[in-house]
Amino acid sequence: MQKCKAQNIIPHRSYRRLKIHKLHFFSELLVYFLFSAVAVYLYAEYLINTFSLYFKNVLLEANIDAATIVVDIFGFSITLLKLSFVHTQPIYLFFILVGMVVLFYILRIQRVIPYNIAMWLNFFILIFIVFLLYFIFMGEQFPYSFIEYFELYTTAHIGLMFFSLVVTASAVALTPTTYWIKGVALVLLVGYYMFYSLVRYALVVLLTSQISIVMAPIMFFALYLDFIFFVSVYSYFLYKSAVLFQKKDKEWSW
Amino acid sequence: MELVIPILKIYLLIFIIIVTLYMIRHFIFTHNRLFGEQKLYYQDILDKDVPMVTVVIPMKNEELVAKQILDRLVSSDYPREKLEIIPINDHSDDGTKEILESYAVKYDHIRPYHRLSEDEKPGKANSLNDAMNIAKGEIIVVFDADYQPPDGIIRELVVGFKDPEVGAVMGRVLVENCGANMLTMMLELERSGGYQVDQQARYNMDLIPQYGGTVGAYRKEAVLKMGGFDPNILAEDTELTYKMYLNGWHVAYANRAECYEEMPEEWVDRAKQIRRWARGHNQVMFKYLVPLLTSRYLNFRKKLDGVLLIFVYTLPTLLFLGILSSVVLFLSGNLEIFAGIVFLLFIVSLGAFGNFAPFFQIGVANFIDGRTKALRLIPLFAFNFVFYMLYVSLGFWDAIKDLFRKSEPEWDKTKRRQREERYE
Repeated sequence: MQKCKAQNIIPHRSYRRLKIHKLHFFSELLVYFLFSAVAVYLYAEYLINTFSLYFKNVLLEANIDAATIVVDIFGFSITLLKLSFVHTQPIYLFFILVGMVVLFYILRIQRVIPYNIAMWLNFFILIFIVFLLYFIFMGEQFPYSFIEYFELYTTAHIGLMFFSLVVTASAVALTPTTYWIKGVALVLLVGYYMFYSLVRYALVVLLTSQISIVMAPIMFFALYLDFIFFVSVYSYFLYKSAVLFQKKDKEWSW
Repeated sequence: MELVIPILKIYLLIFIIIVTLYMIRHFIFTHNRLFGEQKLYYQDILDKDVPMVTVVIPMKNEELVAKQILDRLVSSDYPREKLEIIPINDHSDDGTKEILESYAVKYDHIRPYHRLSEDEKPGKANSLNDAMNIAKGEIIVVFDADYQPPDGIIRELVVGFKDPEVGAVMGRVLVENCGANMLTMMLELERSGGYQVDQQARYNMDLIPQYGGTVGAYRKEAVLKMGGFDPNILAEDTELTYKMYLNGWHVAYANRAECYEEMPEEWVDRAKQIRRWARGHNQVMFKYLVPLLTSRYLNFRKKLDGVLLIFVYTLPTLLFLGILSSVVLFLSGNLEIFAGIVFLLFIVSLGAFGNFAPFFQIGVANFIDGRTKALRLIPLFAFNFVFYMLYVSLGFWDAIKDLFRKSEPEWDKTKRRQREERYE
């Protein structure tokens, strides 16, 4: 008689859960928080300073007058580039404003881009319009010098980096996969983000010093889009883990 | 300006603290659902002695879906002598009436109730109140007309009332047309986050699982004693949840009692739906916040959860004001001390309010559900937060207007797209 054996019986989705050792989970969470703190420390203490000095030389070689200044942010001595804002004539800003209003209207009436994405784009266009109006009518009252702006920008960026890492690391801790995969995912995530942050810093310096001061508030609030990157990496990571886990009947319990 | 800036700063600080609290709450829920001990519903209880049940289906112009739900209900395994089905024709002007009458001729336990006279005010709350007065069942089970109840679901929902403390039961809603387009795919992910994690975790933790107004059931006598449904409130489901808890009853959540529904396939329909929900939910907030805080039946944990739940549809408006405050503070040169934390506001807006659940909650819920490929869509929720912020805020504004306007709000029904050929 053939032995009857239950194989690959995966519990129903309604009440299945994963086995976990609480101490392991909270230790893991703690390690990820520490990892986030170390990543931010490395960025603030070394990376941005080294990059600022390097980029200053690049700018000088390109005949752009640049200097560096050291500022205190969250207790770190951070070297920032010192250039000057380029102010744009209100008449040019007015033309951009008209263009933005037209774009806003087109996005509102079009049927090609999905409604939610069109609304999302229009929200940022609306904020851009507010900034344009501000610079057209009150531009001379912009309350920041170049270095004050970048001090604020860097403060916000470091804050965003820390909170994004904490939130993403917490989400990664909730993902059931091996510590090895989690570790690699976090290192790659942080590595790429830091590289991207430095490139973006250079871009913001160039945009505000060579193109227009109007880019300053836009690039400041555009920082928040970084979080989409974190969520994207997380979702792909979770997807890969899920593919592995669906076949592992022993991992699930009732 | 000297006064405005400190107010904006205080507002921003308080709001960031509140949204962080929500984020932590959802992290706890997600952890509880994924790793914690699960509180099973009562579905394993087998009993021949089942109560008399009335299934109520509010309908307004539902000719596209009426046959489908009635066919499914007549094939239910619930004893026919204990089952009564009351489809409520609420001022329909399409072929709904004829369809209901044709079923009444064929099945003696289907008793359509036509609300056609001008004296009978339209709306779901009014319909449910009228149905309770003629229902023979001691338990009322409610389905919306676009739902597809499986054979055993009535028994599954009703068995929960064996527990004398349970006043209402809520089942799980799944999306039938999830493959229709990107919107329905995202709504399916969102629904999963709401039921698989949020509702089940609140049930596990003995907090406040929500009665959702469909795929649910309640004790008729208990609701009648509480005065029935308030016709001025659009979210009769949320109202019933709070009423139940304020009167010492519990709501049980049956995660295994799954039922499919048709979700809106157009953003404009979703916008109307979300605006109506926000309006109704905020009406409940205005009416029940103080009674909730002063209730003698609820402990601190339940009160805290109840408060956080009741404010869910208020937060997007507060978020909008938060973003506005941060722009004003930036342009006035007053953002210094907030620069490091202001982005927490944006993280939470993206992570949580694009979809009423943080990205990790949606991810884990769909992971448990085994919906693997859809997990890759999670980043797209980032694009929803403006949409939700706008329409929920409009609903909040509607609710404020309702405070000062005494007339009954009009029910803006969600458009059905059920195609005959899909059903046949």
